[in-house]
Amino acid sequence: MTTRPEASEPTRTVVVECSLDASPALVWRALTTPEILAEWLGPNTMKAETGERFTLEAADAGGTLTCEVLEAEPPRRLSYTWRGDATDAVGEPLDSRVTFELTPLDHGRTLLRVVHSGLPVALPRFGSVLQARAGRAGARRTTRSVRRPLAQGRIVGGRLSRMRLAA
Amino acid sequence: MAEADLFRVLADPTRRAVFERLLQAEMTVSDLKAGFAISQPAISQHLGTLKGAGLVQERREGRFSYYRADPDALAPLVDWVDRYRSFWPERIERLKDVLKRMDQ
Repeated sequence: MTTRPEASEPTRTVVVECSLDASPALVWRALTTPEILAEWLGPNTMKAETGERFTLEAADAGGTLTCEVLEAEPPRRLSYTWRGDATDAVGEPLDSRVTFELTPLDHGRTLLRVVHSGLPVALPRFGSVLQARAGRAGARRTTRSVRRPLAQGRIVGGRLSRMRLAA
Repeated sequence: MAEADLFRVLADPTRRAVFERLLQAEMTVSDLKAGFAISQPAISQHLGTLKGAGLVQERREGRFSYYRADPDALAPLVDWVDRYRSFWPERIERLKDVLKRMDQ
């Protein structure tokens, strides 16, 4: 059995918010219909019912993910676990949760809020090295975002940090 | 080296510990051995793997080899938070394109 002395390390949450030119019902379909979900998120066996399990392939973000639907309340809220075998630089496995919140806006638009919580924080001993790298990568991303604005997002780090990602 | 390979190389706790010690100072194998409860050949094996991944560099001086970690080799690595910070905005851009093509 492996012990995890760093278990007291806070986990972090990534929050991305954006308004979409589509009704909540349409966005819900895009989030829960396997063929449509595959087009933007990755190949999957999605079944949007509480307690259902499915897999999701995201080669660039953890490989094959094992998901269990925790909440499915159409067309408002969808939440599932996001677990992967891959580990990060410090051997932390991915054991997280993704929640999609849909809020109706004027003119048939939808506010989509993606909350990805429970992400392991790079351990302190490695953290400084990785953070310096991430800082540089972040600077590169900002430059790119200026040219082609991405969805508005921010990272919420509990008491660790709070920063805006892309304006 | 591909990111996945770097993750794999550093996923081993002993190897990671060797790498971390070499981030702090240049050392010979016997210097390194002092801090570990494993044999010199085992340490050499970990050093070989780290070298192969470009994470550690070797400098020969006389009869001795000195090893040091190369932090630049970590460049492709990000932590999960950093990865998803770019993943979700990119996927949402794709979602927007998909929504445009869907029947209202």
